[in-house]
Amino acid sequence: MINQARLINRFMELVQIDSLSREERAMADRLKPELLALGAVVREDQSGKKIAGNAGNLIADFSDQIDGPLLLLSAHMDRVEPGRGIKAEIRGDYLVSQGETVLAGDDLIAVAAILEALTGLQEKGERYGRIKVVFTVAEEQGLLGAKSIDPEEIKSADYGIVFDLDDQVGMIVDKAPSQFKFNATIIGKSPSAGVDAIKIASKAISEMKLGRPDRGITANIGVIKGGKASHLTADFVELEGETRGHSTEHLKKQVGHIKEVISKATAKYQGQASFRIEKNYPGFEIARDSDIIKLVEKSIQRLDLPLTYRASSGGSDANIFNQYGLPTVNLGIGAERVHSPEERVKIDNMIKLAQLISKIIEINRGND
Amino acid sequence: MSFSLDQYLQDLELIVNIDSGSKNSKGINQVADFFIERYQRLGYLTEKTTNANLMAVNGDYDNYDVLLIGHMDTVFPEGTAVERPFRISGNRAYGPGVADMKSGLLLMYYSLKAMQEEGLDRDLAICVVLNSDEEIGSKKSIPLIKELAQKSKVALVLEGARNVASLVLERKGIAGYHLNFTGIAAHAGVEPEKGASAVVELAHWVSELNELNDLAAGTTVNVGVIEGGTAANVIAEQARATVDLRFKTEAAREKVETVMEDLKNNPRVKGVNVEVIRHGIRPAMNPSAETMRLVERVQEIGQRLKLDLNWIASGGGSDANTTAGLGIPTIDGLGPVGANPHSKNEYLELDSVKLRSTFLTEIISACRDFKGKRPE
Repeated sequence: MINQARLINRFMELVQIDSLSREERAMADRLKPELLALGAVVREDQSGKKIAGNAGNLIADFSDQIDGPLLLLSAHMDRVEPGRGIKAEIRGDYLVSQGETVLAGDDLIAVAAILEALTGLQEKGERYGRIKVVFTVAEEQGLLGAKSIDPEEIKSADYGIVFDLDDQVGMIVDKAPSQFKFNATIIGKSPSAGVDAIKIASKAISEMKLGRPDRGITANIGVIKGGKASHLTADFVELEGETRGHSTEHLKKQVGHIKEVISKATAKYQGQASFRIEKNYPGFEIARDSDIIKLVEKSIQRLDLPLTYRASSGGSDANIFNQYGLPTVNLGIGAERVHSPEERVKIDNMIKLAQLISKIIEINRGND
Repeated sequence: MSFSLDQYLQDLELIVNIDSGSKNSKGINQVADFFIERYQRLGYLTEKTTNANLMAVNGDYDNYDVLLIGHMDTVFPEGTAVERPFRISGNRAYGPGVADMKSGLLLMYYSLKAMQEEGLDRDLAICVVLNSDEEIGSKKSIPLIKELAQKSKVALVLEGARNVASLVLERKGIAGYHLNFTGIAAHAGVEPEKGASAVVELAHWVSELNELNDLAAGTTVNVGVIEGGTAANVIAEQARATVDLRFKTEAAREKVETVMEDLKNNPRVKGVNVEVIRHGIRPAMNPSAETMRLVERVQEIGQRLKLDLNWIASGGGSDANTTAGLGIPTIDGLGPVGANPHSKNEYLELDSVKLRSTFLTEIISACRDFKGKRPE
């Protein structure tokens, strides 16, 4: 049984623990004993060291039977800025942040709901079946935590669910884009020679197709920085941007376009530019007749939740788990307006999420 | 003339070794106190304002034949003088602010001292103003400089010279602007249509402002520092730029400001607001007809001293912009010869000091019967 008060209380306590990316120590220290008390074998991996953070990913094995598929359930422990000193409050039907911070419902709604589902099952004296819970670090920093998990750890499961979608409970992301991140350094010449890096960068950006430049593609220049003093000609500018999409062909075209306008502007004003691009995460697409889709669909239908599919525009740890070979979907958690101080979640949706997780566990262990 | 280079250099060592960056009030006060003591020895009336600006007048006058202007501040942080103190090597003296412009301050003092000793300053009303914030735009001292300039026939500014025969007659006006762009943040990969990129609007402004550069008209617009955005996957909500504008006429400045206003009212990225803050302005120093009459006199003095004068138009500003902007005949660059200001290679050419002192003395003397702008 899902206990509404316990779920809300746990959530409100968790958001108060400062847990920015790479600073998840206190959160991990809080969650570890909870997982142990629920009967798991808990490990913290070495990811913290690898990514210069103060905590690693938590991996909890709950398997209490030998047969049946091993289901991986995952959420992340970190949050974005402004994310320190968060206090949540109930306003009408919603949980909101009291101050100027985010709520950290992304992704503590999922963490709290997973723990509540497990607690409910434990209370009833029911088995968990074969499940592995993974709470990752630094998801908000380009999925760094998931990227530094030992892939064997993930592959040992049969399928997985990441709960990290700011959409209604019942929404399934079975398709997600690839994301490329790039940065460019534009070099002018010495101030006296007067080759202005700011001018070159600005010309290039003015020519760039950004926003939604092509079908299924997005592109952005997110960060710009350059110059030393207002009366000097800037000798360098750094740009950071990204492009993402489902079609590799369109993505390649977009990357080519960005490179081209930068090199044209650079040539026009006789500067120099270096351009680095890397695939931040690969896309994925899960077949509708796969076991994980069947499991999730059935659970959603049993609870009479609206079953919907969508292709995601963003990446999540599910991209990385799929890359490791684990068929993984990303499910809606009911959070709204994430990454902003207006972030909120309907209490009713949080309960539905805990119920859904509980149902998924039951069906996975063969109790259909 | 009773000018002792040895004494001059002893004093120069003393004041160069006092760090007096524009925000170093302790150091600036020390330099001011040094000059108060010196000018009082000459019998000048002195006054130090709350901003540590120093005034010294050689009598109880309401109006002045000549206003001599210098600044006590440097661009160097505390500790520079310990790191690389005053030193002499061959014909050059080195140290923070040695050319810009502690040597000029002392040249002023020693020239006035010599004039007094030789009785050359009789019937001359001389006002000295040494300010404390020239290197950061003279914001706090401009009111005092303006007040004194309006009482003066002529303003002479002791910034350093490029060579013994050079003087500065023109300086471009300078205006500084902070541009603050506020757009709408949104997830770049999820809902870019909900965002309005401050970075893209900034790029548009830079491109448009660059079009306003007009070398023939003497207008330069430089966007020198830019910064915006927080992460690659976020449509940037904030961006900032600093702009340096140099101009020869008010009309040229107004043209640039009109374009900024247009850009502001018609953002290319809808939803981006731009705030334009002008944070400093010095009018252009352009020679007036009266200044040209003064120039003729100075030209004659130059011939007498066998100096083939060259009149320089500088892109940089000084307090001369302020006095010239009021229509007061103004000549700048009257200090001794130096080079590389604002850098660790800054130096003063020792053999220029005595000649430039003679030159200055002659120019001050010539102000006695110069009919300047001031009502007689």
